[in-house]
Amino acid sequence: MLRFIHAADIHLDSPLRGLELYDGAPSQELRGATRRALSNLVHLAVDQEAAFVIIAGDLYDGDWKDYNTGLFFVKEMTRLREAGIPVVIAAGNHDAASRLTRDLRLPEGVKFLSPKAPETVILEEPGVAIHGQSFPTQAVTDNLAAAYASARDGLLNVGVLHTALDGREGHAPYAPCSLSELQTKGYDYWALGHVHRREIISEDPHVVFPGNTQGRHARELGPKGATVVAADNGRIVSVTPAILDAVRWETCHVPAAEANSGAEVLELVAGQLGNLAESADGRLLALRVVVTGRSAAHADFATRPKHWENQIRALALDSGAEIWVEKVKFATQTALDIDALAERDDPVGSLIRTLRDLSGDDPSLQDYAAVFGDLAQKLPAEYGELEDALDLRNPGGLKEMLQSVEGLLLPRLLEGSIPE
Amino acid sequence: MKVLSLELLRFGPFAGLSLDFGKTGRNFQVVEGSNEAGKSTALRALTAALFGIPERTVDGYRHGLADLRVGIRLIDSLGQELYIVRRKGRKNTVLDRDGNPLDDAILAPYLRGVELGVFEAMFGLNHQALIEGGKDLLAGKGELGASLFGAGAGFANFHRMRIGLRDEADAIFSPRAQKPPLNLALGAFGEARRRSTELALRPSAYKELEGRLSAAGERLAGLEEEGGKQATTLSRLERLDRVLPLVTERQEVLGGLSGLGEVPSLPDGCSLARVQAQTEIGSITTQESLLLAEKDRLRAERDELEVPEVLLTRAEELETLRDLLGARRKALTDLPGVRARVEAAESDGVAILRDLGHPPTLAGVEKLRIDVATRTRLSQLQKTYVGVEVDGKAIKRSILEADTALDSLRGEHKEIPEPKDAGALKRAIAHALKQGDLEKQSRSLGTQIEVCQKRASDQLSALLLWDGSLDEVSRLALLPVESVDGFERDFLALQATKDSCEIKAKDLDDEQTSLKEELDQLVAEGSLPSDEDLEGAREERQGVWEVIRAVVTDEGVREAQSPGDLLQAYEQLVRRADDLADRLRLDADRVAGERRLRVELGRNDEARQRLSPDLAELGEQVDNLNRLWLEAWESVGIVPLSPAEMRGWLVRHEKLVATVQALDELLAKRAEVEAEIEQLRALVGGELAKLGEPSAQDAESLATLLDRAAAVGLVVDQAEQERTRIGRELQRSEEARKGLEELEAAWAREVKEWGRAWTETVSVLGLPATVSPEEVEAVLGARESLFEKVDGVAKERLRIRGMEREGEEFAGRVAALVRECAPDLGELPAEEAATSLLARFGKGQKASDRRATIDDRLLEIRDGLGELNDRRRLAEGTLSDLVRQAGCQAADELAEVEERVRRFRELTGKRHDLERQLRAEGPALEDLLEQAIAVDRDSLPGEIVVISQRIMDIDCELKEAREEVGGLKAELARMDGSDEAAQAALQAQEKLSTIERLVQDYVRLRLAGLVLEREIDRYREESQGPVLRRAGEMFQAMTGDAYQGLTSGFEADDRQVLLCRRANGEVVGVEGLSDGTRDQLYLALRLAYLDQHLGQGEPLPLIVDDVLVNFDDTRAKATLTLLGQLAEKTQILFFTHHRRLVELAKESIPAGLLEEHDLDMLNRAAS
Repeated sequence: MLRFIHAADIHLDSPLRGLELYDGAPSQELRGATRRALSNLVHLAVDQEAAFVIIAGDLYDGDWKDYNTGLFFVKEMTRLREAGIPVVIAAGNHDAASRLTRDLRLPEGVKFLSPKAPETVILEEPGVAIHGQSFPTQAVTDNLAAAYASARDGLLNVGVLHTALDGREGHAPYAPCSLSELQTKGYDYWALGHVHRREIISEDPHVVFPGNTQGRHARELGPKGATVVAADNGRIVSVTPAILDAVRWETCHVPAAEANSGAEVLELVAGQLGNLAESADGRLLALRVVVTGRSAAHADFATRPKHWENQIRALALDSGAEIWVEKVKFATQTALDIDALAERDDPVGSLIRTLRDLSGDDPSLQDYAAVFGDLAQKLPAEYGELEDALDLRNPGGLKEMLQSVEGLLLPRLLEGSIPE
Repeated sequence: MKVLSLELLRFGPFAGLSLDFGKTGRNFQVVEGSNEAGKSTALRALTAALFGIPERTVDGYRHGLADLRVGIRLIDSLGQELYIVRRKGRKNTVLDRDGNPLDDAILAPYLRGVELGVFEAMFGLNHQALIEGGKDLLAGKGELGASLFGAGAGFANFHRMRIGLRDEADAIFSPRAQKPPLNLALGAFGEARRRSTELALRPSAYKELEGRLSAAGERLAGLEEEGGKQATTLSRLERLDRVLPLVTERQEVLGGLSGLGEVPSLPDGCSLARVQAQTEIGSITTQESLLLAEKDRLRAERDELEVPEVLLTRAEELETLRDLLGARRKALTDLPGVRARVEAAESDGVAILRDLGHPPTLAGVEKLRIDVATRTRLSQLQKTYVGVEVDGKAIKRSILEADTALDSLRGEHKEIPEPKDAGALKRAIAHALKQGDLEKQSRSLGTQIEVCQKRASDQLSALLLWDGSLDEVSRLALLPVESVDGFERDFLALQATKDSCEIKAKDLDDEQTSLKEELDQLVAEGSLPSDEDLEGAREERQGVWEVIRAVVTDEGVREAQSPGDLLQAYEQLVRRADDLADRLRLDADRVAGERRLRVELGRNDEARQRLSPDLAELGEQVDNLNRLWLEAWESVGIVPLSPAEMRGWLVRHEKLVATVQALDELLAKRAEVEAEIEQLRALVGGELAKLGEPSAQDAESLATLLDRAAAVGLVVDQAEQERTRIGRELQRSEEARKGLEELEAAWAREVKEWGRAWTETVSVLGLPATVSPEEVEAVLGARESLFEKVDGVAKERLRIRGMEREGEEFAGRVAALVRECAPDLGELPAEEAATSLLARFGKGQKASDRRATIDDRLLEIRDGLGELNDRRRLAEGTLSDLVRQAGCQAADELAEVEERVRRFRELTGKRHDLERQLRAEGPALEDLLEQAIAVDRDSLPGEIVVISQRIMDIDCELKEAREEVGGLKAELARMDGSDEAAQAALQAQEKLSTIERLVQDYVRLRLAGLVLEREIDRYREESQGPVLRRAGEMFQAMTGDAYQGLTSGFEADDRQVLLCRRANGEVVGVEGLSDGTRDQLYLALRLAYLDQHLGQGEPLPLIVDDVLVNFDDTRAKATLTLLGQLAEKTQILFFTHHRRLVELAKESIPAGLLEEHDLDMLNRAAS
């Protein structure tokens, strides 16, 4: 029986994103999550007595220049060398952009596949042929797999490719190729990388995305890790996920339609925290709470959003588990019949109509954008890459906010309440 | 939409309270209620019915939350009616009349999207909102648009909310501040990002460092190599520098050695051996001469010594003689004393004899000596005598004591009274105790009886309507409860029917009055033409027309009237009929109203008439039932109250009967207990009398009696015990007395026996039997002294004789020795001769000892001389050996040879030492010597200094190079894959998240403010004219023309503000108004808005809750008038606590618009 580990998209030292620090947030646990995931990978390989390890691209994060990251990688690879486990890496788009890939001296037994042409690495002892090619540049639009060597008789043939296949949502279409193309290559296993979500594309032969080893933001949810592949007599017999992540990302969806108040929503959140913490299995849980629905609690959230966010954070603190409430999104709608109100001939109706008219009134919005000029100037470039970033210089950016402005104004006007 | 009725089915304290607003269809509904009447509850019920019962309601305390129900009947502008019942809950809270759930949307056409918040803001007007509104006007400094907008929409805290939006936004971000959190977060992000970049290790930096380390390592290695070489050279030169003096010294030594020539081989220590041998020979010569001199001196001394050989041969005898001579000299000293003591003792013995009455001579004294047996017997008898005498005395004393005790006991025995039997008494006591504490029972029963009597008496006096005694209570023949219930049902049924009839009658009467009033009013407003009037007018017109037609057609005869008159008359009649028709058409409403009123009045009157007989009949039935009710109670002499009350009376009566029965039972029980007590008293008293004690006394309780009886029993028992004890003691004393008598007899026998033995024994001493033991003791003592003396004299005499014999033997021994050894002493007495002889013997012994000593010494001297001779030969042998070895002729040449040998050895040792030192330097000796020879001695020190300097330089360089390598290594070691840069990047991300959130918050708040301002401006532009004008009019009316209206103006900061124009033309801002006037201004703005907008769309009822409490009557009336005008457009539900306001409303609002509801009255009716 032969076992090897297939990992990809380690993005070493890429910072976890979207976690705002707040009092009581378990910030220490957050540190070095991608590193810990890599260490877990090494531990897994040693523990499983793996014959070799494949990293199917994006070992580093493209624009990350800290040589220390490479040094850490070398240190971890040294552990594998000591255990006699060879490592084959195909550079991905991020690695091609990273200076670390070029400058780092790797220990013996760690092989970066050539970026110039497809290459076949033969591992005599287990009887394996590994075919693959590194990305020569960041954006590879050629079909790399097409030029891969034919399968070697009498050996277990493994293809390594950093690709989005024929396109995967949210991923650049690098090294495009079709599944059937891979299937007809005659390999026993295709170790793919680039897509961060684990996916077994095909089982004959196995074409597998192992997903990334550590979720880095609220869109990379659930357990993350590598794939342990077992082969016997030149045939793949099992493909098993191995969880390696150090920090777990999850979303807590809270339908609040039935809730009459913020306090009742808190109870709903508390009801879910236990299960979510349990699913993280002792890891730090980076949790996004999304409250949805047309709810009577909407007025509470609209008037005092910070208060209720803090309440939810306090719940997480009290839960006893390591939970970092990444973000609380109050996506509730008012229980008021806005359409009916909008038809009324009174100040409220008029206000609603004004708000609605504004979304089609670019010149006015452009005027408002000028108000935010000072702020827009001070915002760093990185702000623009954020999930909820607002384009303050253009009407489009402000348009997004109009509905939440409505949600803020109506309860305040109608209830006459002023948040603390 | 209007509210036709509001039914508090189960809500707050109410069950079935109904407010019917639709009865008259009037638009101004006044709901009046004193405090606690439920005005606030009714208000809450209204919003609850429309919008649901709130989650946390205060109105569920009576019925329970699940059972709360409010009904409401609504009508929309199209005349569609809806009745719903609202229950509390989250779903399906809208029900139909039968409790089936209805879709909530059923209310939508009536509410038109208005939710609770909107409803309360826009259609609710209360005192608090007014005050808040006034304050908000002030807070907004009367800013025109905002004041119009806020007051128009009823947003009480509008301005403060606006300010809040701005403040909140400013608290998040300010372009030119540092402290707001968004500014801080931006700064912190930049800082973290900068730190991340700084901490990041550039690959080139790492490689450069590696290069520097490698170069430094090479330099270090080079320096180390050169340092090694220089050190070797230095070490060689320094060695040469060190060895050069040694090499020179070695050459000098070699020269000295060759100067010594041939040197004989002498053993080590030969010099010492020679000196020792020579010294030995000198010493031997000296010792020999000393020994020979001593030998001569000793021989001379020996020859002069005299030794008496005869004496020395008798040495043993002479030694014995020396001992004897000592004893002899002592005996001669002691003898006179011994003789004197003998004489004294003899004289004492004679004196004793005389005392004993014997002849004064010691001759024949032996017959007085007492033998040991007699002596022993006497002693025994003396001892026995003492014992017998003591025993006798003790026995006699005991007998005397026993007699005294006996007498006393007998006396006591006689005094104890005869015994009595307390058995029966004890049984009686036990029996009484077994019955328990009967007296306590009796007392307890007494207390219970008192309580019971008191209760009975209270209950009796509480039992009103009847004044019999307690005894009669149980015997009363009363109506059973069931019959009373029957009466009650009948009464209630009758009363209910009657009440409903009366209410109906009253309603009809009221209605009648109201209809009449309405009719009167209609009539008072001016006469109304009737159809009949019109008909009449038309007929009249027709009549004239007929005449005219006849005239025109000449059908008729011209009468008196001229055509002109006719035409004028006709014209008048046509105008009149037209007038009437016009009036009928124009006043159609009034006419129809009048018609309706008259029909209703007729219908009402009819209905009222129909009710009268029913009411009369019901009155009779009530009287009849009342009579039957009174009769039912007549037999017991009671005039009953209502059945409900009489049921209570019956219950009280029943309780009283129960109390009386309980009292009787208690009394019986107490009598029983007291009889038992008396019985026991008799029993115990009888037993006491039998024992001679007084029987039971009248005042004595059973308990006291029992205590006394128990005490008597105790006394009898104690007396019996005492008697038994004394009897037993008496018996014991008599037995003891008998024992004493036997002892006394035995003693007498002993005394007699002793007397016989005594007589016998003293007779042996020749003493009479009467002699006392003390006397015998004295005689015996004297005889003992006598024989001590006699025996002493005999002993001393024997000693004197011994001394004399020893003197004789001594003299004989001395004489024999003198004869043989010193006849010259023959004449001297024995002691002197012995002394001289012993002196001679001593002297002779000393001379003999000295001679022996000298002889021993002479032998030693001979041996010593022999030994010295041997030693001399040995020493001379040694010397001759040395001479031979040194190859010289004589011993005195030896010293010189020895000196040469020593010098040779010294130089050789030095050479070896030098060569050893040279070898220790390392290289072979030969090489070293060669190098030493080759070296330039003069330049050597210079070379050493140069090389040392170089080595020191190299050391410094090495140190620097090592430090550099260490530093670089450490620096590289620090580049160990640390994640500090990554950590800083993570912190930057954390800050970025904060920025993301704060930007959202900030933009939302700012944008909300901007939109609101835009809306306010828009509203101001739209409403400024009409609303401001209408509000001005209202404000003027409300303030009784103190203000002449409203206008606007600009402040210094270009804000357009609301201004109030005073009667004198002066304008003031809202800050210049009193609180009350400002509240009125707010109300004016609010009402003006409503006035402008109510005409459009579906208006909702305006809920006005005690809004005028702080208004004076004039302003209140003015406001009510304005509200009355509003009521033309929409329904107004006017809630108030104040009767006065109701009166003012009635004065200010047309009667046809206003309807009153008195909550207090409704409450009473409902309960």
